[in-house]
Amino acid sequence: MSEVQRVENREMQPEQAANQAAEQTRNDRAIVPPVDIFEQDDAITILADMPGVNTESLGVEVKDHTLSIEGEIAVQMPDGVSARYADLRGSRYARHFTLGDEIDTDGIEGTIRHGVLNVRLPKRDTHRKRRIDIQAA
Amino acid sequence: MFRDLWRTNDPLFGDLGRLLRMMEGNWDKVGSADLRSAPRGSFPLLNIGETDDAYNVYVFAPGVEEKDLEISVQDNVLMLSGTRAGVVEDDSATNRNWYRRERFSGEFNRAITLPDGVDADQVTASLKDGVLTVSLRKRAEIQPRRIDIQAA
Repeated sequence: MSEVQRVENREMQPEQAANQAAEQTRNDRAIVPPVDIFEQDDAITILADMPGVNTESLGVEVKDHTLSIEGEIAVQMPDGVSARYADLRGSRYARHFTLGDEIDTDGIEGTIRHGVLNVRLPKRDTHRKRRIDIQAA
Repeated sequence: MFRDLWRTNDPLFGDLGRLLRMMEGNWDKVGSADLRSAPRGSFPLLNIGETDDAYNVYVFAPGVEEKDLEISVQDNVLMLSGTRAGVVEDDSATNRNWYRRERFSGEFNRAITLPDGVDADQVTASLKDGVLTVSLRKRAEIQPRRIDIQAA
């Protein structure tokens, strides 16, 4: 190996390391989906925009009082397509919420339709809102 | 695939260059912008991909149905408009306390300028899982052609 080649090789290494680091952050970068959240007497509902996610690529799970919503964008693309412009940079959505004790975690239901996720978090019976009648004295 | 647009492995500036470009990308450019470009957070978001024979526009329009969407092509400009309904306010909507309303609702409009050479008669569109895929075929004369080399 000539001197020139050795120098080039040495120069390459930090760059490759930077490339790997960039690759890592790119893989970890998840899109944060916009959500609507509202509460009713018996449940809290979360709606999340996750276009490109279907039932198979969706993951909704509860662990340690944290609700995780994740999904992979599963869009069919033809072979040999190259990116020209992108508003949406990434292939994965993720968002997490902390749940209180009032949520009945066994009763959580999630459905996705036209790329909109609907998660219903039912409240435990003991935590449902009860109306208190005020009696005239 | 679109993640590749983040690749900024410029050996000259390395991390600093990447950071500067990320910052630049995160704020609207005040200097000079495409007339039809959209600010961040617009609805719907879209990605454009190119193959040898077509441009594919991927429009991320969750919760929008076929009947609420209108697409038209004029020369090399693709125009999209439509309405996205808000959360249904029917009988089940009683006593809703809203904590977050981040999702877009209402009318939207976007236009995309494509490179010249789109065949306006050969545009197809399909909607699946909230993603509208519009495929615009390039005119035959600008598609790459394989040239056979003949033995002399």
